[in-house]
Amino acid sequence: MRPPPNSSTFKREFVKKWLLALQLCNHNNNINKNDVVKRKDTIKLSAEIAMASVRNGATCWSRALMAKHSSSFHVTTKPHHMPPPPPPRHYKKRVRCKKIIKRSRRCCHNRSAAAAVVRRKTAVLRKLVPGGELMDDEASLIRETLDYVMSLRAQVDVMRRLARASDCVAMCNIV
Amino acid sequence: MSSRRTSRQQSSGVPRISDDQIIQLVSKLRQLLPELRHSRRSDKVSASKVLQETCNYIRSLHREVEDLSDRLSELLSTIDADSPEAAIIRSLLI
Repeated sequence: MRPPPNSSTFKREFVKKWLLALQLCNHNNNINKNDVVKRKDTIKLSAEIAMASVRNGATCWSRALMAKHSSSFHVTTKPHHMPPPPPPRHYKKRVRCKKIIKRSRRCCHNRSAAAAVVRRKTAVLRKLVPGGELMDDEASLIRETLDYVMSLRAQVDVMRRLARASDCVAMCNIV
Repeated sequence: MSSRRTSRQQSSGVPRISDDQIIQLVSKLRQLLPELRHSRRSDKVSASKVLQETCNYIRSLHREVEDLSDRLSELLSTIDADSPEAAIIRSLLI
């Protein structure tokens, strides 16, 4: 997995792609200026696509998002370094986190109960991270989660700044 | 105990990722999470706690995107794409 660009580079790329995606969306859908709900969906969709597109296929989550939204844009992604899809692997149940569980609990019953909790939480995480259900091992899932969380944070930061800037502009117009 | 582990390693046919690697990844995740980053109590936060906080954090980020999209859809409807205001906003962002 290619490492993520640093935060400010990510945000700059994100803004460029978001503006482009917004234009494409508006062009494709001919949104009525007064249709606030449609506009909100467009903003959200284009932001999600922009965030995925910045990673340019380097991560599973970004590929999953692009695939999910490809019908909205009729866009084919041409990532520079597309790793080959992993060969299908039979998912085996393995208790992975024995060393992470507190060592004082020697009792077998406690250990397997804790491992079951970790498995349950991991399953929830798989549903939250795009493409999570396709990731075979916990290490890939956690790496993808790290990347996805950093990208989401950058996206939220840019959107927050835009909202603040628009607020200021709107206030200046009133005065 | 160790013989059980070895036999499991041999049966998968795939290089096994070490538990140490997983611990390292989990600790990186922990540094990202606002709830856990500041906890200095011990560095033995359980994996399930980190996973739970991660799920909570991702959900809160999704909610924030939802709210911001709402706000932006109302704010931006009042601004013309070609207007000087839009240019100001663009320059503030980039």
